[in-house]
Amino acid sequence: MPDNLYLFSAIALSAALTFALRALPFTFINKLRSNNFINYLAGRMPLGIMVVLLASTIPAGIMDLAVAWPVAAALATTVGLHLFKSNAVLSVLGGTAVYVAILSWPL
Amino acid sequence: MFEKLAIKSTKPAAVGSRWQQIRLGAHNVLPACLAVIPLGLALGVLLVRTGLPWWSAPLLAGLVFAGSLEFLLIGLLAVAAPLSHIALTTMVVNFRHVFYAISFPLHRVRGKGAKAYSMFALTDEAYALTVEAERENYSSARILSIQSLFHASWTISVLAGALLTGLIPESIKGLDFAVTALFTVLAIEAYKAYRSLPLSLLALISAVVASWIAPQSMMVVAMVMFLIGLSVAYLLRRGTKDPEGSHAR
Repeated sequence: MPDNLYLFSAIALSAALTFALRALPFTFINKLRSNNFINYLAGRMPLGIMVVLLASTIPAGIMDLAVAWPVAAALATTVGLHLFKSNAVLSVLGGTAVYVAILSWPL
Repeated sequence: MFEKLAIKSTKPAAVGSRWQQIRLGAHNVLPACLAVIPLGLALGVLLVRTGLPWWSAPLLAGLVFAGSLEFLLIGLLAVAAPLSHIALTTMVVNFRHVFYAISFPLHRVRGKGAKAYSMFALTDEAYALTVEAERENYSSARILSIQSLFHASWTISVLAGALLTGLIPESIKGLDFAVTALFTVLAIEAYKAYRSLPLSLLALISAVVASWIAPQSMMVVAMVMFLIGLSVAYLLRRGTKDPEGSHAR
């Protein structure tokens, strides 16, 4: 069991480094606003980053059919709901409900 | 609701519109707030079951405020890993955040303290939920509302998990899919803002290759590969005729 001083220092260190990673790039990004390359990246990065983040949350062992088909069914539900209803809360809850239902079947 | 407020309020329009902006932000962030509840509860439960004191849960969630890193930190904290190890893990897992400054609308946030908070709370979700900020003209209040409500939802979920460890059933499997569903929705929204199939494929291929060659640090490796691909595309385009890069819409 770690002591309290260690816990405080470790959490503070991790928080400070995370803040630095998030904040430091802003100190020079303003100077680059007029740069064509930075503007090119700025418009295109969100889509790519979302695809990477999405891929990073896919469960391990996705090449195994038993893992893959519940994920595929739940993803299809989420995408289908979102394209037809455009309600993000519904899409997230619907997809999750399908996934939980498949995994806990038979109850 | 807005009309009622407008009738009741004798204050200047700016006050009413500020409240309206906060509400718009709340509307934007609601799906993200809901999606992270199961994950936050799971983190709180894991933290207590690993042997850490309950009060470290809100500290970790509220101060580090980076979900995937917090799961890794629990294991390191429990064995009192050296601080150098904590620092290295933080740098590797959160390095992707250095890219977010390129598109995040910090210039829209007013006030020094608010700007500092906005940078502190620049999570993946905050980045994703402000993709439309330029086109939809988000105000400072709306951006801060998105970030602070998400911060509150995450911290409270983690704290609740830590306090209610014994009450939370272990039998509900698959609730963590909520985060996958959330990023699916955010990816669809990002695609609506910038319709490009080649770009999506470049990111997908980067993600698949990265999870194959570097499963431990897939996110940052994939993002670097995606950036290299984009840079090559920029150089090729500049070599032809259109230096600005026409926006696919």
